[in-house]
Amino acid sequence: MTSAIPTDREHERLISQLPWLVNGTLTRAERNQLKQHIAQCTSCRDEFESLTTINATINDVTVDVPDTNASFARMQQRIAQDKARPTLTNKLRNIAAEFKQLIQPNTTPRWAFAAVCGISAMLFLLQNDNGTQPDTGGTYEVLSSEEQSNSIDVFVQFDDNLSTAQTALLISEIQKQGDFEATQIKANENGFNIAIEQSETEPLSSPAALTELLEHVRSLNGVVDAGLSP
Amino acid sequence: MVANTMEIDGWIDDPDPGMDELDELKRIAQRDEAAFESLYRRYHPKLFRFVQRITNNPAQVEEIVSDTLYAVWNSADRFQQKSKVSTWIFGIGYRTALKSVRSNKRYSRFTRSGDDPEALMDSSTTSDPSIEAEISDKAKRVLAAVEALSPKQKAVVELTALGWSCAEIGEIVDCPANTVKTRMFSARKKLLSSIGSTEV
Repeated sequence: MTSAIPTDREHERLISQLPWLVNGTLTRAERNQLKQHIAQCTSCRDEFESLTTINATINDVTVDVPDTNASFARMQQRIAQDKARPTLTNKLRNIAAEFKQLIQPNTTPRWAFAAVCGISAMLFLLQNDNGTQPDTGGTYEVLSSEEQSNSIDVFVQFDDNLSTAQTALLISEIQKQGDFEATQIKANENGFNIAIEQSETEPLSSPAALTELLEHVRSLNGVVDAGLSP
Repeated sequence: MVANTMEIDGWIDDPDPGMDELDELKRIAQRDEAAFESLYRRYHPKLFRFVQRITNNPAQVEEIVSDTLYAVWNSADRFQQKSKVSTWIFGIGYRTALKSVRSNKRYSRFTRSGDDPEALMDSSTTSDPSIEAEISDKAKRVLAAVEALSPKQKAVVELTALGWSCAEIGEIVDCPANTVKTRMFSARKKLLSSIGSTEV
């Protein structure tokens, strides 16, 4: 056994690993080194014992978990309602999912998949009369005009390589983040302008909420830039 | 002990079934509801326990867990395999829970400086006298000290107790391993000073 006294820095590094020695997730080499150290260091041994007790105490706490069957039944209802909701993103998502099952992504050129989804989405929207008729200039009314009074405009620039289906999912992701609904989605040269309906409980007019939303949108894979529309 | 409690045995031994789970997620991305149900049944109790411990708000836990698994259903095709499926799902759960805590008025309770673990002892953990009797004073002090941690510190402590490695916790809470160690260091200091390291 080596008995070299570790430097303060090394000692600090060893101490920082103690919680994971307790839960058994260190590598064999890390574990052996730390055990050797503990055998010689009283303070680390005491701390190891304390952490062991803390871990055991936390794991001994019992938690009342609701019935998973009932929980999943509610989830199924939620999914069914989601499918039935006539929003642009849901339509695109359902179309994309159907085509994904029909087409093998590994063997079909990506552009063909994107084109099929895009054309299908357009046809679907044209056939629908729930306030989703296409407007001029590639603008799609998702909700009635009365519901757009409380909206603000945000632009989102997507990566050129995104497929239509991926774009639709990104829009959905953006919606989920902010607890709002897109009321109008307009394609532009680089991406989309999205008019978003503000939530009454968390208004996006609050600078902090808006900043948080835009930061999140910019962090999404496939988004090149996002901000308030000029 | 409380009736109808979750069983955590096996949790640490098998945190990631690996390729099976990846295949399952690919099927979920294709809207396979049977695959989603299988995943749901495995993760619902695990997430429930984790979320309950970091939010300390039983009324919202089921909603947070439901939102988390709903996000998995809707985002499965965006999983990029940069992490394990399990850490990805727990990451969604962590962010959803944190968002809920932030928007909850009770959040102030976690962020007040000088929270007294002794005072929290009386209001946390359980109100059932028969259960109270089963928990030793030492355990009460530990749990009260954990309760007084910030949500981010509490998440690191809870995930460690649940058997995640430092690197995996970094993936879940979306920060470098060194930040995880820093949070754990701060949490450890508070826990040990609150309960007295020699008394544990």
